[in-house]
Amino acid sequence: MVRAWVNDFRIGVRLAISGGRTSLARFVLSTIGIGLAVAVLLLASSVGPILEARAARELVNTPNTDAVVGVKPTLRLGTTSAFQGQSMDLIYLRGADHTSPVPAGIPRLPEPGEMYVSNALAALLDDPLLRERFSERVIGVIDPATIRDPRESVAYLGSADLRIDTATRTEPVYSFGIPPHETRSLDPDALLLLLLGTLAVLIPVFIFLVSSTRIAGVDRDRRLSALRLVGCDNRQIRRIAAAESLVSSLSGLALGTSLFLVGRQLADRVTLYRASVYPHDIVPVPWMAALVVLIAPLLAVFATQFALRRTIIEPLGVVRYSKPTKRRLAWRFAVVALGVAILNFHGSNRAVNGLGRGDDMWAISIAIGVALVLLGVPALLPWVVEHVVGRIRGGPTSWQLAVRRLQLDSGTSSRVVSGVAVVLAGAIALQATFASMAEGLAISIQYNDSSYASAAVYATRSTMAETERTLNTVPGVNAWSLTRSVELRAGEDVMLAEVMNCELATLNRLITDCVDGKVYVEHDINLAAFPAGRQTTIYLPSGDRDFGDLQPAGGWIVPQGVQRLTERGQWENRIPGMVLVTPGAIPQLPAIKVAATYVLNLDRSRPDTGDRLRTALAPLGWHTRITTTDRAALTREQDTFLSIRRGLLIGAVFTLLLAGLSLLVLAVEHIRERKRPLAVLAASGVPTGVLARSLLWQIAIPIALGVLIAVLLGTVLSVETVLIMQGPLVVDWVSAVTMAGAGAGLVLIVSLLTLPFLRSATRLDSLRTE
Amino acid sequence: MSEVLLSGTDLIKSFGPTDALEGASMLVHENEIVAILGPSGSGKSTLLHCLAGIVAPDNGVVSYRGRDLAAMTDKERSALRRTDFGFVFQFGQLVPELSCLENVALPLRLGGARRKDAEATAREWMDRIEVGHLTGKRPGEISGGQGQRVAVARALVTGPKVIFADEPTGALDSFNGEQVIRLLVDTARDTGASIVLVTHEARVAAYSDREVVVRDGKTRQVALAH
Repeated sequence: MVRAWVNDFRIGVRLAISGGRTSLARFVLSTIGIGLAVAVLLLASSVGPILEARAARELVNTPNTDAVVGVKPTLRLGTTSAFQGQSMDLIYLRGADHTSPVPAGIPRLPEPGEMYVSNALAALLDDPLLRERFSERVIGVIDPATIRDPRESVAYLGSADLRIDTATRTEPVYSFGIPPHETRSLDPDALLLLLLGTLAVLIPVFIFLVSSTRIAGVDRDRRLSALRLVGCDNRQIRRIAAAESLVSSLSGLALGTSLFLVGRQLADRVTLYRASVYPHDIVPVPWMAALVVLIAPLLAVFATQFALRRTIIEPLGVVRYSKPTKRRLAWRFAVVALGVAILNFHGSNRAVNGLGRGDDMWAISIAIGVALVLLGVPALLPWVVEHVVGRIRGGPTSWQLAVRRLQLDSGTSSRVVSGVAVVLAGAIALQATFASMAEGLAISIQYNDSSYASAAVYATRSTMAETERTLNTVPGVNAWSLTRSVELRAGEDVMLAEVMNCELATLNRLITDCVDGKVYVEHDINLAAFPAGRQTTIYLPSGDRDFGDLQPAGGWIVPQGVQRLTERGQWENRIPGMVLVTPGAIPQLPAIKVAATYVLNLDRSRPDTGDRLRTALAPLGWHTRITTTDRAALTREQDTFLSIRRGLLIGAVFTLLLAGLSLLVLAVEHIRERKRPLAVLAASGVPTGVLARSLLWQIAIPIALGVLIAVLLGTVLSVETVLIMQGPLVVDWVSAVTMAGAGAGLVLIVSLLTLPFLRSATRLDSLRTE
Repeated sequence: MSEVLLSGTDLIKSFGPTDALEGASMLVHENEIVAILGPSGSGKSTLLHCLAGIVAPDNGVVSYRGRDLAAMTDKERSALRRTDFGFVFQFGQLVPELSCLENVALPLRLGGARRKDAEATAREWMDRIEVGHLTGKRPGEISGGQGQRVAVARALVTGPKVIFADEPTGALDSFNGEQVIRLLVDTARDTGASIVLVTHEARVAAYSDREVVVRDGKTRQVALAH
C-alpha cells in the first residue's frame, strides 16, 4: 500500500518536472503564480511584527515629563521641517548637567552647535541647499535601532537658549522611553478599516493561489487519461494529480520564500507612500509563516482534487464531465446574504451579547462578514457569466469566437478575473469607507501633502521682526498675514473669529472681494447673539498663540455691515463656521506677547518655495517653525487614519500587480493550451487580429461582468461598514469609476502582452503533430 | 478451436441521441487475431472500447475469461487493463512528458515494479520492437511510425493476453503502417496474445485470422479469413 502510494507519488513528481519545453513552461508558470502569492502572504504575515517594531522604536524615545527626584531635566523641543517634500524631525535638546537624560541612540547630549543625524538625513545633507540650513556640526549618526523608519530624517540638535515656555511647547524631560504595554489599542473604526483592507488584499491572493494550481488543467486531464489507458485506477489518478500539483506548489513555496527573503533585504531601499521598513523588522509571525507553508501545498492539492471532482477521466483521452451541471444561484447568493446579515447585525446592534465595538469577537465576526461579501464576487461571477454569455447572439467573428468559447467553458475565465474583481470590490468599499472617515475627521480625500499653496510660520516674539523681514524677501511668498484666533464673548454668548488681512484672504480665495475694516461670516453662522453695536470682550490665550488659559484683552463692538458670504462666487475655499475679521475692524487688538502665527500664500508654480523659506528662516533655529499642509498639523486620529490608508494603498498596489501578473500568466497558459485550435483557425484563414480580439473579448466579457458585481458588492459593503461606523455615507463615484477603469486597463495591458504568444501560437508549424 | 478469452453479447450503447451499438456480439479466442471492419461511424471503435472495459455498455454483457466486466470495480478493471490488456491507438496515447523508455515502463511501474526493473524490461521490449535507440527521446521528438512502435512496445511490456488496436496505422503512410502492423502481429503470435484490431483498411485486416463487420451498430461475423 505505502509502496504503491510512493510509486504513484514518484510518477506524479516525474510528470510535473519533466517533459521538455511545454512541460517546463507549465511548471514555471504555476511556480511563478504560487510563488508570488506565497511572497505576498509572507509579507502580510510580517505586517504585525513590522508595526510592533516601528511602535517599539517610537516608544524608546518618547519623552517622560514626570519629575524624577535628583534628575535635572533635559529640555526638549520637537519640530518638523521638510526638504524636497521629505519631512524631517528636528529635535532641539538642552541639558542641565550629567543627570539630564539622553535620548536612546546617541552617546551624549549634543552641545550647542552640534547635531546627531539619522542615516537618511546624513545622506540628504550632501545637498548644499539643505546643508546651509544647519549651522550645527554633525558629530555622529543616531543608532538606526532608535529610528522608526530607515528613510526617516531625524536630527538631535544642541541648543543654548532653549527654555520652557508655552509658546514653543518645549518640555522638561526626566527620562526617555515608555514601556511597550502602555501603547494604546486601535480605534474600532480604524480596526474596521484595517480588517476590510486586509481581506480585500488577501482574498484575491488566495484566489490566485488556487488559480495557479489549476494552470494547464486540459493538459493534465489528457495526461491522466493516458495513464488510465495503461491501467491507472481513479484513486491512483487522484494521487498522481495531487503529487503533480504538490511539486508546483512546493517549488512555488520555495520561490515565494526566496522572493520574500531577497525583497526583504531591499526593503530599506524602497520608499512607498513615504514609508520604508528595516529588513530585520520583516519577520513573519511564526505561526502565520507555518500556516502559509502548510496552506500553499494543501490548497494546491485541495484545488486539484476539487477540479477533478466532476471529471471522469477515461482511458480514451476524452475527459467527460460527469454531468454538465447547471450553476446554482441559491448558495452563491446565500454567501453574500449571510455576510450582509452579519454586518447589518453589527450596524444596527452596536453591543449585543458582548459583541462590543473593538473587542476580539466583534473583529472576528466582522471579518467573517466582510470575507463572505467579498467571496460573493468569485461565487456569483461564474453564475452571472454563464447566464449572460448563454444569451448573447450575433456580433462580429472575433466576438462570436469568444462567446462560443465562453458558452462552452466560462469557468476558467471567470476564475481568472474573479481575483481582479475582488480587488475592485474591496477597493470601492475602502474608498467609500475612507471618504466617510475622512468626512468625520475633516481630512480632504483629495489631500495633497506636497502642495505648498499655503503655509504657516510660527515665530517667537523676539524673532517676529526678523521673520517678517524674511517673509518679504523669499521669492514665491505671494502674501502673508499675521493671524490671530480670538474669542469674542458677550455674556454667555461666544464667537470664534480669525483675524487676517485682506491681501491673504483674497489670495487664498477665502473672500473674493475683501475690504479692510469689514467683518465676513460664513452663511451658516448664526449671528443673532451678535447684532451690530453689541459690546463684546476680546479673549486671547494667556500668552501663547494657540493654547493656554484665555484672558480678557479689551473690548470690541460688533461693527455695522457684517457681510454674510451667501453666494458662491463670494468665496471659493469654504472654511465651515468661519468668522473673518480684517485688522482694520479690530484695531484695539493687543500686541503679540509671546509668539506669532503667520499664514502665507505661496506661489504654486514654484514648488521649492517651502524649502527656500525654511532655509531663509533656518538661522532663527527653534524660534521659528514652518508647517505646510503636511502631517505635522494632523491630529493623532487623522495620523492613524492616514497611516492605515497609506498601508492599504501599498497592499492594494501589490495585489493589483499580482492580479495583473496572474492574469498574464493564466492568459498565456490559455493560449498555450489552445495552441492547436488557434493554429487551425489561422491556417484556415482567420486573421491574427480576429483571434487577438477574440482573446481580448474572452477576458473582457467576464471582467466587465466582474466589475459590475464588484461595484454592486463594493457598494453594499460600503453601506454596511459606514453603518457600523455610524458615519456619513459618501460613495466616492470618481474612485469607483477609476477603479473600474483600472480593471479594464489591466485587461487591455494583459491582452497586449499576450500578443507575441498568440503570434507564436498561430504559426502554421504549430499544426505539426510529431 | 481454442478457448474463448473475451466475449461481448448483445451490446447496446448510445451517446445521447446517437445509437452506437444496437445489439452487437463477438468472441475473441486465445491466440486469435480478430479484425473489426466497418465504415466510419458504424460503431467499431465503440465495440472495441466496450470489449476492453473502457466504456460500459448500456446493455449486454462483456466477459473476460468468464468474468463479467460490469461486475468488476473500477480498480479491478484498471488492474485488468494494466496486466492482461494492451492498447495501441491511432495516436499512440503516449504521455508527452515522459521519455519513450518511461512510457514503455509505465504500466509496469503502475503495477508496483521498481523503476530499475521496469525500465530494464521496457528496454528489452524496445530493442525487440527495434526502437531501442529512442529510449531517451520524448514522443514529441520522434516520427509517427516510431511513436506507434513505441506504443506497441508499451502494449506488450506486461505480457498481455489481449491487445486492443484501434486504427493503429490510421495516421501512418503505407510503408510505416505495414511495418507497425507486421510488428504487432508477429510479436503477438510469438507471445501468444490475441489481438482485437479495428481498421477500415483491407490491407491491414488481411493480417487477421477472422473479420467481424460492424454496420449500423450490429455485427456480422465473416467466416475465418485467409
